[in-house]
Amino acid sequence: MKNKLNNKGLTVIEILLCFALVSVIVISMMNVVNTYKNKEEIESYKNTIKTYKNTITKAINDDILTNKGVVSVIGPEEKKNDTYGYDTETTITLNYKSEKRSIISIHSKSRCYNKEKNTTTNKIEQETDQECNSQNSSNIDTKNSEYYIEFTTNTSGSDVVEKFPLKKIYNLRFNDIEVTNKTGDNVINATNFIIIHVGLTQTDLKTKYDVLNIVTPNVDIYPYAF
Amino acid sequence: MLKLNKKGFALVETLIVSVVVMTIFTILYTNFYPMMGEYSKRENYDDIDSIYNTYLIKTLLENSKSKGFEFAAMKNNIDSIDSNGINRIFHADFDKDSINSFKKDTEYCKNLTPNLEGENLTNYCINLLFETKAINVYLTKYNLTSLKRNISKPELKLIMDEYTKDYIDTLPYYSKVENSNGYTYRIIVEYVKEINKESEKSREEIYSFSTMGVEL
Repeated sequence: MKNKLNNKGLTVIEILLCFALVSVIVISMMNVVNTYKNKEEIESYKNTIKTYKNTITKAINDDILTNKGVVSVIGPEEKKNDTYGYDTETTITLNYKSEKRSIISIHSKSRCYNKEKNTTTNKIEQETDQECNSQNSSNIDTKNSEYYIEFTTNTSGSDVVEKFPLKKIYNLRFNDIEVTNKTGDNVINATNFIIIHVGLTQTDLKTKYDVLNIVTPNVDIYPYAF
Repeated sequence: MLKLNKKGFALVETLIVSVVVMTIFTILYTNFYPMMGEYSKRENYDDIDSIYNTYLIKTLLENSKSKGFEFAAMKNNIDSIDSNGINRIFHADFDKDSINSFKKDTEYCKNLTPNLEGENLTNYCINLLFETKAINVYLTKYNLTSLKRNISKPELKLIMDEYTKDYIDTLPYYSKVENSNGYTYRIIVEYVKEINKESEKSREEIYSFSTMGVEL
C-alpha cells in the first residue's frame, strides 16, 4: 500500500517568502505610523494648551466685563521665592472702574535633574545652575516641576482665588510675560489700551503659544467702551 | 483520473473583489483626508480672543448708534446690505511681509462713529481696530440666508477673500430674523494673528474670524 503524502501545510521556502514579504510591509509602514503618532502627540499638546488658554482667558475677560473695565494695571512684578530662582511668581494687578481689583499670579516652580547624582534636588552644581534656569533647558524634571496661574478676584467683596494648573507636559513652561500699557502722555503712539500677554514654550512643538493675549481699553480714557 | 481542486478563487473573482475594495478605500480617503485641512482652518474660527475683541467692536457700534443721532454713512451701509447680503464697513491695509506694519485708519472710523464734542468715539474706534488687528469688519443681516445665496456673486469678490467665504460657509443660517436679544444685524470680523516664524505652517500670518449679533 502506497503511503499517501499529506498535502497540507507550507514548504520552508513559502514560509520564508511570507516572512520576508510581511517584514518589508511592516518596515515600510513603520515610518508612516511613527509620523502620525508624532502628529497625534503634538495635536494633543496643542489641544491641552488651547483648552488651558480658553479657561483662563474666559475667567479674566469675564471679570473685566463684570467690573466695567480696567483703569490701570500694575506689573508684571517678579518675585523669587528661593535663592536659586527656580520658584518664581510674577503678578499682574488689574484695577477696575468699579474700584475693585484682581491679581493674576503666574507661578513657575522648576526642578532640575542633577546629572551626576541622578536625583531631583533644588541644589545643583554650579555648571548646571544656568541650565535649569534657562528657558531652553532640557534638564527639567517635569514630574516634580509645577506651573500654574492663580487668579484672585475681589468682586464679591472678599478675595476669591482660582487656581489653573498647567498640565505636566514635557518641557512645557511659561515665558514672555508682558504687560504693555499704552496709556499716558509720555507713551509713544499711545492708544490707551492695555495688552496682557503670557506665552508658553515647549521645545518639541517648536512654536510659542499664547496663554493670555488680552486687549482691553483703559476705561478712564474710554468710559463708553463697556 | 485527475481530480480538479475546487478550492481557491478564479482570477476574475479576485480582480473584481480587489477593484471593489480599492474603490471603497478611495472613497473613504477622499472624504476623510480634507477633514484634516478643515480642522487646521477651523481652529481659528471663533477662538476666544476673537470673540472678546468682536464683543468690543459690537459695543462700539451699538454705543455709536445710541448716541442719539442717525449717522448717514452707517445708514448707507445698512441699506446696501439688501442688494448683496453683506457690506464691508471697515478695512485695514497692512504689509503682509510684516504684521508690525499695521496702520491706523481714520476714514472708516469717521463713518462708523459720531463726532460728538467731549466724546472721542472716533479715536476709540481707530485704536480699538488697530490694537485688535482687525482687518475687515462686515455687516450683514442676522439671518444669513440671503448672504449664503449671494456668496458667489462677482461683486463680493472685491470685498471678500476666499478665507472669509470659507468661514461664512461654515456658519449656520440663523434662520430667525431676530433672536431674543433683538439683534437684526450681524458683524463678521476678520483678524490677523501674529505667529512665530518658527511655526511648521508655510504661511506666517493666520487669519481668525468671529461673528456676533448687533442691534442697529
